[in-house]
Amino acid sequence: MTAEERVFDRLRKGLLRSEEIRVISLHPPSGKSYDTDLIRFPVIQDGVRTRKRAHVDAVFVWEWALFLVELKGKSSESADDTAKLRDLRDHIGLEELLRVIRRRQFGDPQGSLGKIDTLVLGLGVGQHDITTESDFLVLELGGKTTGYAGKSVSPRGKEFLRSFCDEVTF
Amino acid sequence: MPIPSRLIVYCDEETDRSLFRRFQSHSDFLSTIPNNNLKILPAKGAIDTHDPGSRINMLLSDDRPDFVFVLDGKPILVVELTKHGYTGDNPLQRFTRLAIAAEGGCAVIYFTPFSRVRDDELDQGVENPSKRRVNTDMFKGMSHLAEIFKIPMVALDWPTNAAGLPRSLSARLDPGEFLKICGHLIVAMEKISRDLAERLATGQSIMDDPWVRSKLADLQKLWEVPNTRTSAVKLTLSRKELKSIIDRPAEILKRISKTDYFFKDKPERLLLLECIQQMKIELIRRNGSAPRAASSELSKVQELIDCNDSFESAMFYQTGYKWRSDPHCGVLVNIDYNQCRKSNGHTPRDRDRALVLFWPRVFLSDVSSPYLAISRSLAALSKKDWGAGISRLFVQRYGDKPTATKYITQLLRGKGSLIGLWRDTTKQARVFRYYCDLIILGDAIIVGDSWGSE
Repeated sequence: MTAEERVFDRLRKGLLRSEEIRVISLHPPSGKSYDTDLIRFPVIQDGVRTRKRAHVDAVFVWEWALFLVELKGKSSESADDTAKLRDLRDHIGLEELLRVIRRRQFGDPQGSLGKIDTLVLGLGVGQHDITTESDFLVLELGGKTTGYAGKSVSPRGKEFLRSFCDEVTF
Repeated sequence: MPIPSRLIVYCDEETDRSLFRRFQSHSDFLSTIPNNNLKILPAKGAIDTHDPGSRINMLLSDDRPDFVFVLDGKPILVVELTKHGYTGDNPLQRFTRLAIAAEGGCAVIYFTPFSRVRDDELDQGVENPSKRRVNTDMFKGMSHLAEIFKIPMVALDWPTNAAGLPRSLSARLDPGEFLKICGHLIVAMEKISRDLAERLATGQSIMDDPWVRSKLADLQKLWEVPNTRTSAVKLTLSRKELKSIIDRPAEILKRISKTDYFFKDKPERLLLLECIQQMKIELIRRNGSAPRAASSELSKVQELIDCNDSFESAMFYQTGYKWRSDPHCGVLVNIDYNQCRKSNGHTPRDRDRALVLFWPRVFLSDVSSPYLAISRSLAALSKKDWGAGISRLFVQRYGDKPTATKYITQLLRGKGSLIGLWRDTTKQARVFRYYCDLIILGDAIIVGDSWGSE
């Protein structure tokens, strides 16, 4: 099992364990998933939206916030992932992201997507070895789960970390 | 010893092993397979069977089915789960896997949505996207595999949700919902591994079993009404036509026209057309040996065509893909079983009709004149040299230079090399060499392995 697979496995178990979390999409490193549909979002290149589509490793809803989380063995390896998630936030935006999800969630039968008003970006890593980006939360999924939050992460993002992690350091 | 203790279930990944454990919790029989007998398929390696050189180990050298059941060292069942069931070539990419399993004496269960909406239509926000049925050639090929190898081939529908997507097997599903999605899959695995396993493992026929017969009848219903259109690239050729194409490959343009094919769809088809126009058979290779000059060897290929009945009316498949394995390996193997084995031959050599692959974008030598010519064409294209033949093709198709430039950029931006060089160590080389009688590349002919060094 690679470091990224271990991180995925720990996050998956944690997310599926909690009744408060609505898991929308879990895209494992192998690309094979039986748990959820695999949502694909538009790919942005040089600030321009392309016809290509890509997965985000974990997409879930907690307390009317939509979380997009990319996974890596170490946070120092995640520059491309942070750029990818920022592109989705800045060039696609929450409303459009929700529209993409709704198309595949057959009209949102649980009715929860309409109330979402916050987008939270995050990384799931085996080892958090750099300074936390100001607009990202980080889940360090080792033997225990430690949460880190950048300065501008929303209060709901920080609340999520308090509820999900064994310990938080912010 | 009872069957469950003798059964090993190889799972593609940990995810599959977890799913199998969930299947076990709903089956009195499967639950008795010991935990230690659920193994992960080795990476790129053979599994422990009585016959290490078997077809099934060949399958595993290139491919990873979701589950392989092995009884007393004999693979008896391959189970394939896939959410991707569409029209077109894509579903056929799994056909090679099913064919090799059947050739190796394994039953097959193929669990897929028989119809579903397309991901790209959902991505593009198409209003009311409609469900598309799986290419019926897939199921027809499975029926032929069952008939030829006397092996159960079972196709089971993966139910879809209201959006037309296959239902997920979430760990949070309650048992009743889980069974609604895959209860019939569990029953099929149970039936084959419990009631038919001994006979499969010892090579006895199980085609008289009422359950097997009912599943084969169900399978036939799936392709009786075909959903495939006439293909422009799958042709029947007489000996004379085939020999003429080998002499002058551009002769194929009399059968596959610009207007019907090359001037439609992706701009890559113009590159394909340019490759065909530059094609020339300079080398012949047989049985993995070093290539020889066509000037001395071509007559032997012509003789092979003349002297073997299967070339009386050969199946010819032109693939426009670059150097890659899927989906065209599966398409070719599907053509083989649907079109070339009327007398139920077990091996490529036993076919009634020869099978010829035409692959103009791939070359055997990087110093052959066609390869060098195409390299020059691509260089001219990137420099927007409007005097070059290939650039003129773009202008001819798209009407003016600005529009042509847009599509040239799209073509050149694509991932990977636009033309390829043949490499024997790849899946596509192994599959094509095993199944084809002749592989016609941009600069060479490779004679299929079944012809040995004759």
